[in-house]
Amino acid sequence: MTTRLKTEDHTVGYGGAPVLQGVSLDFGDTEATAIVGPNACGKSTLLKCLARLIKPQKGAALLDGKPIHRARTGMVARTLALLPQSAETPPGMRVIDLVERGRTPHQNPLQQWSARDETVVRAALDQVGLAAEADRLLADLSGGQRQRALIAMVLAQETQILLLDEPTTFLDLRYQIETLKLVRRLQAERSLTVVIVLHDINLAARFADRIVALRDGQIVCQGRPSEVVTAANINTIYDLPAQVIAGPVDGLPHVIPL
Amino acid sequence: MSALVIRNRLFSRRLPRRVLVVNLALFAALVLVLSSGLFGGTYGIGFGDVVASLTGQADEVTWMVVTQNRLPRLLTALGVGIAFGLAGEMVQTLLRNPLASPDVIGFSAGAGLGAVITVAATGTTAFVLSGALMGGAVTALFLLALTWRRDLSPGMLVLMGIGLGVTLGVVTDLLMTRLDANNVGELVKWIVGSLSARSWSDVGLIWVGLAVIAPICVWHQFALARVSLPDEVARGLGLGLLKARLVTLILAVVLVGLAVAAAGPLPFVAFVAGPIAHGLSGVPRPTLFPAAMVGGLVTLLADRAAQALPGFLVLPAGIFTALIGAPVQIWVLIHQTKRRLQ
Repeated sequence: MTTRLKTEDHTVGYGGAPVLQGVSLDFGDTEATAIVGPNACGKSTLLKCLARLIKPQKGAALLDGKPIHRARTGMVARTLALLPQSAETPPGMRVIDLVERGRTPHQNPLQQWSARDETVVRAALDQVGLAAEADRLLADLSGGQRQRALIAMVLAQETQILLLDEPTTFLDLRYQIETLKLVRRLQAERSLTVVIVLHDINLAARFADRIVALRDGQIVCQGRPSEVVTAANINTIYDLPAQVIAGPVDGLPHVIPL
Repeated sequence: MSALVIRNRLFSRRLPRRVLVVNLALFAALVLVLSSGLFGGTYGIGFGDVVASLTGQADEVTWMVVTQNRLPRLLTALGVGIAFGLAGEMVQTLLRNPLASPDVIGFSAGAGLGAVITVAATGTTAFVLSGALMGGAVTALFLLALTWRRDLSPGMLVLMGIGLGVTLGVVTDLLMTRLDANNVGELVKWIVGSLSARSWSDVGLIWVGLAVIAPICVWHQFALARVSLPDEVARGLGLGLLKARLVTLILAVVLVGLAVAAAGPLPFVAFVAGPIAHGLSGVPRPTLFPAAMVGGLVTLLADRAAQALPGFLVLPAGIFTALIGAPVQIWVLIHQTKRRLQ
């Protein structure tokens, strides 16, 4: 079985030592894959390669079997959407303006607000719970609301694949959980393929179907959360002695650093 | 903020009502300033006189005032203002910085120097347009080369551009001192910009240019509105950043070249038009239509101020656009520095 999105022998470097070394991965269709690892392990770089923001030196990221760098950029934007780690939005921009920008790959200079655009934008706003805030300035929103507005923009792109780069970084605990629950719900509703970079391994264990752990630009281990999150693996990935227990509510693995 | 939806088979747009109101108000203001310029003034002219002049039935003095003086002057001012307004709005939006307008980062100074060089070299004003376009283009290329290794970083572009603009101004001054007095009178126009004694060839130049370039700008507004998002977002939406940036800069260079060839640099028109239009319309930039109209208004008003002076004190309109623009630039600089220090 071959998946829509994969990498083959993917190698990237910024001049010096390679940041990713021969990474070959299949991202399961309609599954949520979390990429975890210590700082500078190459996890954000991997996501940026999938979003064709960085070109590999060797190997390729493949979308439907073809190197993503050689695909037409408009076609890729209708298949795959990226939520960057942080996005400073232009002054004067309102929620609805931002979400409307998500329609870009389906628009052209003449048709900038088709009936389909309007339906999709309204639905995306509804799904993230911002329908009532559509006309508010982004600058006036809370961090959690801004993050949801960005997610709505990515949803309005109507892609089958979502790439999320640490969507919880700037959020407090409540919004972290809220955002990840939202992603999970949307993924189920729309059968999306999600690739998400996460710092927190416990959140990864809870909200992903599969986990890929990187260290020094190479894959350390991958599999279901229960296979990856073990005391031995945590020690290999992070150099951190830990105990792994079953979560009291859901039974999923939970890391207790020692 | 309610919005008006226009939707048919060819065209669909969501237009916030405030943008619509601002556009109409600016248009009304333009009509007002234009008609006061045409009908007011020391030599009284009525609507009938204008019609008579255009159909060739007016007396000679009226005909002179209307068709050889006022109309070309007003139409040049309007066209040049629109061109500067569009160019300023596009470059400021692209570089996400109000300081990065073509007159602040040296495009206008380059176009002015190009114009002066062609006049000095050929002794006629026949090749001014190509000189201004070349000057602007060479300046832009130089600026791109200087900032290319920093990925055209906006802050770097602004700093390099201000330096480049000053240098080009010095070169222009130097050239002026080497020319004989006959040429200098005509050349002063390309140092500060002036709207007095405009002819129909200036009107033709700027308006034919606008007829070609302005529709491309309006078409390009779609891409421009998206390149102004953070790079990663814009690329994720399927935009070719490099192409959109180059198209924006080329359009701006051509607009500035046209405007400088017709009326000289007119400092700060490009710089103030966009921020005023953005403040009025309350939507994210680019707002090309309001910016073009504000550019036209500022230029027309500066020219009115230049004409309102007593006869012995003749100053070019460029002095007045600078008087409006310089305080705004100082304010923006203070504002930006403060924000960065915090």
